[in-house]
Amino acid sequence: MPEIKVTPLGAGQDVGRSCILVSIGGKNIMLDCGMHMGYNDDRRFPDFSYITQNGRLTEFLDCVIISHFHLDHCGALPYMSEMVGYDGPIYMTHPTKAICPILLEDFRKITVDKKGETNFFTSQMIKDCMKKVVPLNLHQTVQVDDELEIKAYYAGHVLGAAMVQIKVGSESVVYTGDYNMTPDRHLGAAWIDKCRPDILISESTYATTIRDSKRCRERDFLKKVHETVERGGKVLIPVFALGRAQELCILLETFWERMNLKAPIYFSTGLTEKANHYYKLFITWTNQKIRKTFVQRNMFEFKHIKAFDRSYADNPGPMVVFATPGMLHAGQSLQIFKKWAGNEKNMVIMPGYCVQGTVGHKLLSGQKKLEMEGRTTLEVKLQVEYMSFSAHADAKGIMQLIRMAEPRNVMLVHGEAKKMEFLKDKIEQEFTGISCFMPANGETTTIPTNPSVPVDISLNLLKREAAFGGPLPDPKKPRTMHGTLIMKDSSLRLVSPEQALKELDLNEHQLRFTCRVQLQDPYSDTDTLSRVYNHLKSVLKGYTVQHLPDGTVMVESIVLKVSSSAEDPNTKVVLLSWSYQVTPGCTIQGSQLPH
Amino acid sequence: MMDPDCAELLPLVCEVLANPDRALPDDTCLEKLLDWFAALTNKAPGLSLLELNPCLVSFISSVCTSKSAEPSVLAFALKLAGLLASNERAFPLLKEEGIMKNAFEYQGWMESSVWEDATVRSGWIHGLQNVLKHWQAMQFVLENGLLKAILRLQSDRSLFVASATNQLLACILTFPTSPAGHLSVKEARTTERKNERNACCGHDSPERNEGAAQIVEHVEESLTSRVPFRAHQSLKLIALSLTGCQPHVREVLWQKTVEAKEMLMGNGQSSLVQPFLEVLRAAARTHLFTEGNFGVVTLMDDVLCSLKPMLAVPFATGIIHLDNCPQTLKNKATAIILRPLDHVAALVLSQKTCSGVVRESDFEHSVWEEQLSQKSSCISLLCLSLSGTSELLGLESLREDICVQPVVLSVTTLLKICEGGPFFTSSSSSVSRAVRNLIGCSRVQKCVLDTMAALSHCPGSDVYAEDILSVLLLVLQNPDTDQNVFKKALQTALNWLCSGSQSRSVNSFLNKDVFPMLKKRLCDVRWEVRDSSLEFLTHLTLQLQEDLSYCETLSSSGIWDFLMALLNDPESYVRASAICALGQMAYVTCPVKGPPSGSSVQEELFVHFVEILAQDTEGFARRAVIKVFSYWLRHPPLQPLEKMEKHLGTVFQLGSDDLDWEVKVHTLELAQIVIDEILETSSQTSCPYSIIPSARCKGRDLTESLRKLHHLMIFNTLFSGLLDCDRPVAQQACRILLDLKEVIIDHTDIVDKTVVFDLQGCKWGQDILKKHFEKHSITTAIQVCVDIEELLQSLDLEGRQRALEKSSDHMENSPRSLMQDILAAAHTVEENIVDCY
Repeated sequence: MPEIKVTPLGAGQDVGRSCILVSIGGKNIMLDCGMHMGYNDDRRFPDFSYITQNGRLTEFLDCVIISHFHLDHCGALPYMSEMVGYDGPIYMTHPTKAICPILLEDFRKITVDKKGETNFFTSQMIKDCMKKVVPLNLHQTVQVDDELEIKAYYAGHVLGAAMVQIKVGSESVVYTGDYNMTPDRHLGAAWIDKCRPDILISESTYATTIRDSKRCRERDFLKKVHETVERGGKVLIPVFALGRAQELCILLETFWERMNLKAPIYFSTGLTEKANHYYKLFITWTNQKIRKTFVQRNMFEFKHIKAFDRSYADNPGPMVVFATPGMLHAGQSLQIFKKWAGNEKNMVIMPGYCVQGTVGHKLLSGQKKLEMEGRTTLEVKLQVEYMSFSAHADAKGIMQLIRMAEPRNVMLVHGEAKKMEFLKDKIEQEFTGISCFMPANGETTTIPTNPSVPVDISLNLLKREAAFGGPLPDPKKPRTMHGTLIMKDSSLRLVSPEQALKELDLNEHQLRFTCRVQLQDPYSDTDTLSRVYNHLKSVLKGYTVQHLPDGTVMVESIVLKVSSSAEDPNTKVVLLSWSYQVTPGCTIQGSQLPH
Repeated sequence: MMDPDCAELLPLVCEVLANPDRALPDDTCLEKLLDWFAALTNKAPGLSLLELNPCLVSFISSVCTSKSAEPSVLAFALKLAGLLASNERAFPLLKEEGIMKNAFEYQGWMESSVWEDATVRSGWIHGLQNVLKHWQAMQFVLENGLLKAILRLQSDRSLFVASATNQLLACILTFPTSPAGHLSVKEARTTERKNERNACCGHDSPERNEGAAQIVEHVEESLTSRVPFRAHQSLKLIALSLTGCQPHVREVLWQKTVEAKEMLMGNGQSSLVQPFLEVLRAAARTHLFTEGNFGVVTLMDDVLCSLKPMLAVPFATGIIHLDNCPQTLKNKATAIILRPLDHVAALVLSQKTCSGVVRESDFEHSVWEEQLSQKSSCISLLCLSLSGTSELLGLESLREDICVQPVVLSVTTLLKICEGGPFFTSSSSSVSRAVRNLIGCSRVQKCVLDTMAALSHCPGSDVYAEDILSVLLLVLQNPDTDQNVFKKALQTALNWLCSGSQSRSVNSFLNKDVFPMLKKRLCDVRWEVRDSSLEFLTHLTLQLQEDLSYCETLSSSGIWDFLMALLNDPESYVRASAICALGQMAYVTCPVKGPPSGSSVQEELFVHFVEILAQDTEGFARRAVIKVFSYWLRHPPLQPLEKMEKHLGTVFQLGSDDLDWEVKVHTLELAQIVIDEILETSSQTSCPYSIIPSARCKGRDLTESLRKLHHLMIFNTLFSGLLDCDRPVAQQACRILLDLKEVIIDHTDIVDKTVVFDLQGCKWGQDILKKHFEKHSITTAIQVCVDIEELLQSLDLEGRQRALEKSSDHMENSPRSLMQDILAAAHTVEENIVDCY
């Protein structure tokens, strides 16, 4: 039975590092290759030894597909391709290919900044890995090989995020990566064809969370920043180089313009220039509004946001500073935080998730006394706010996508088990006939498929079938056809047997089967044959039983002949001979003739 | 030992974790906590850990009894119990208090709904694996019937649990023999007689024998079960334990495997073939291989010939690595590896065989023919064959067995087929099919190129350089060549170009073919191709820089202008590679080309690069600039340093103000080179890179050197670096300053140690000169005159270095911080959703 197998190595009932293996039609595909930032050792990468123990990933995997540039989806890629060793194709969209190295470099810096970091990739490895990437365009079918094809769809989550359809023959899988079903300030909503995949692998981060609309969160953010600035405080927003930072920059820039605010906004690293460059370059991936207004005014050319210098942190008066890294664990953002933490007028806004141990994590868990280097204690008096701006589909969005794609099965990944459970029930209730799975990491889900094999049918055969009478064939209903299947040059054709013989230049041969049955009958051969004839005639009513002049009896197409055994004339041998054809109900068994 | 703060926090943490109503911390916390306990149990005697922290025992007990905690906490408790009990002295205490039974008693877990969660099952297995460090633990497992449960988990639906179980079972099978004192010989013998099965397992303790027998029985059942996953797991177990287990167990396991051979092999296509081959390979590393009566070699031989080609080639590749492998088997394996390669090449060249190693009689011809005639299997098989061939060529012992010439012929033919073109116009259907299957196939091309690279290392292979390079040129010249194939072709070409000794023919080849091709590729629309071309040029120049004729060829190639144009490439990776290539080229062609306009090529380029350093918006290019400068300064043919001095100051200024941390680190490395150079010229020391000049150094020279360093903005660079928020930058600056301080302090005869700093626009001034300002009550001066020795001493560089050693991540790694985070998370009301990063 053909089947599709899906095994999450990461993102199975968790939001850690996404890495999902799919086997479809004899092809093996890896979906995302993420990293867990919470670990300092190899545990941050997926365990590739579950794929193959000899380390030969290239032999096993047909391709790797990366959904978007977030590190929990692409962070292990250079490790896998350059350190473990993978030489096959890697697919991602153009913006993802351009932006991925920035984030990987950013994270590489974080790791070298730490003590005792080992086994981490270099800049050269990131470049070499990126050279292996084949860029994808939206809605363009890419042929990985003769059988495997992939197609990317807009996912909306971040610039360049894509959902991907994987197809081998008539079997298909859709992997959503992270997606957002509602447009936001700079990106559009996810969209997919009614492609009816065998399985839809969907993220479920916000599976049950009832969240304020993103607009509400944005309003709240602006209000808090405005209030702090108004009372003369400073606002620190720790960010990663790219992604949320740009979104928040647009938000503040527009707000400052509208409210005619004068407090300076700074961006602390040179990365923003490059990031903004990419947003300009990939303007077609942003939402309609940005695209429309691009000619008059480029949203990413900021009037109010200026480059930050270390000495500005001590300037009196209000200001807003975006600084890296996003988890406040080192570098510029931590340095500014230390300076501003003691003043209750100031505020820090954490716009994303922070791993354990970082100052960001401690702040979010409400710790007010932080022990810094040399056992000095830093008292946190400034206000701490957590505002997640990440754009994931909520339960409603996930249901909407299912309606759009009409899959046969759904698999939930990238979420928490309990929340998934709830959504799973909801999906199975709402969509009858759809099975929903939520495997844990390391658990394989097997989906039986019913692949249809396309066959060309000859016109003659169709005409002949039509000639048998009855109503014209209904295209929506299956109908049985009889003919000879020719498999030639990787194509399948159903033709009439005569046509097959002609085409293949073959002669027709008939097979006859024979068997001998012994009877104890003292009469002559002719008499025995007559008795057999009479007996058959009496028992096989409704069948044509004939006694032919050549000394044979025929039952339909079966021929019977009687002869005496050479050793014992009383033993009669009945020879039966028939060609292969189905004659229901007509069976002859060796039996005692009535005396 | 645990520090007092941690000891104080631990009971609170245990309490929080044991309370199912409390919020759980970040998913990595428990793992990190276990890491800490593992380190503690390694360092401190386990008993004292338990005695000093009774909360641990009560935590494990309460969590494992109630089984109501989150699966992750349950798994944590189980693993922790295992870790603590891994200490031989702590084990009896835990056993006595019922903790062992409580934690690992299988029935209770199985009846609980939490067992459904793979995390809990995994925790149970890992806990047992942690504990199995001593004989008492082994007895505990065997006496309490846990083995049965473990065996059940061997085919768990979770790959992680199943795999961990196999590890545990292997650990049991390979556990060192029990200590003699545990059981008397008489006892053992009595038990042995009671149980016939034990006889097959030798003379160990009865429990141990019983355990081994139970596992062997399970393995036997699994192998014949017709449930592929069960058999698969048992084969994995055999492969894992065969080398480490007792000889008698090994023999029994081997016997069971051989008995099940037919079933495992199926018709050579079963999914079990691969793990079966792993067992064979494991067996080959044991005494079973060398002792003929076990028939390992014969079995391997049989298997090798009966396997389907897709499995035979990797198996053969495994065989060639075996020590003590009989030559006939190795020969057969070699023939199998080369077979697909040979077949395709021979087919196209209308020969019977190419390599001469392959004998038709060895194989079932039709099967191979069929596989090679279908596109996907042909490609896979060729790739396997090629990577096997690369391995063959890498093994010195085997190089003698194969003749390089036919392999060269095969790989060059194959690469030509992949390239297509008018080379193969045979009317034969099988040839045209082969050509059709392989034309433009980048997968095969990459493998061929790897094999070609391996060939370049074979002794005497340089006679084939011309053949190989001419085929490589076809690939490189083809504008449709895949970017990754192109990169590999360049790398392979580099291997061949640099391995040969005929520099004249190489130079003619470079001049006539390679450089014209490179000029085209440097204008390729794909940045990957442009970048790979530049990288190739840099490496080639580096390798051949001693070869004067190469330098001449390169100078006259006209490639320079192409490189200069690429300094404005839109892709920053390319700009950076162009800088490196130009840097290398300027360095080698300098003496050849001579000064074109009064100043040297290097000097002209230097000015250009300084502009890049000031203007390029991306880090890669700026990093490359500083690296090139460092290279130039480190290597002798450079013009005297003075000529560049006026620009070096700007370089240090720009480098230390850069936004990219790596540019700053490289700038500091450059500063180190300049300091070494300046101090060396001022001293009479014979060691060119010594930072500490000899005692003969004259004070006046050193004074001059300090002035020079100051003039070049090096002090500015170092002080600015010292305050940098990126640790590697501050660390590097601190290291250099400490060395400088030592030099200055050591030389009391320095005439003048004062340096005048311009405070205008000086970002580090306020912080670094704080003490100086306090002492001299200067706050608004534009320029300050500072005694550099005094300044360096006031900075507490040693203390700073210690702090930097610690880094901010000490917080992330400290157990105290970890426990504080767990406690804080338990009191967090608002849930912060983990989404993405």
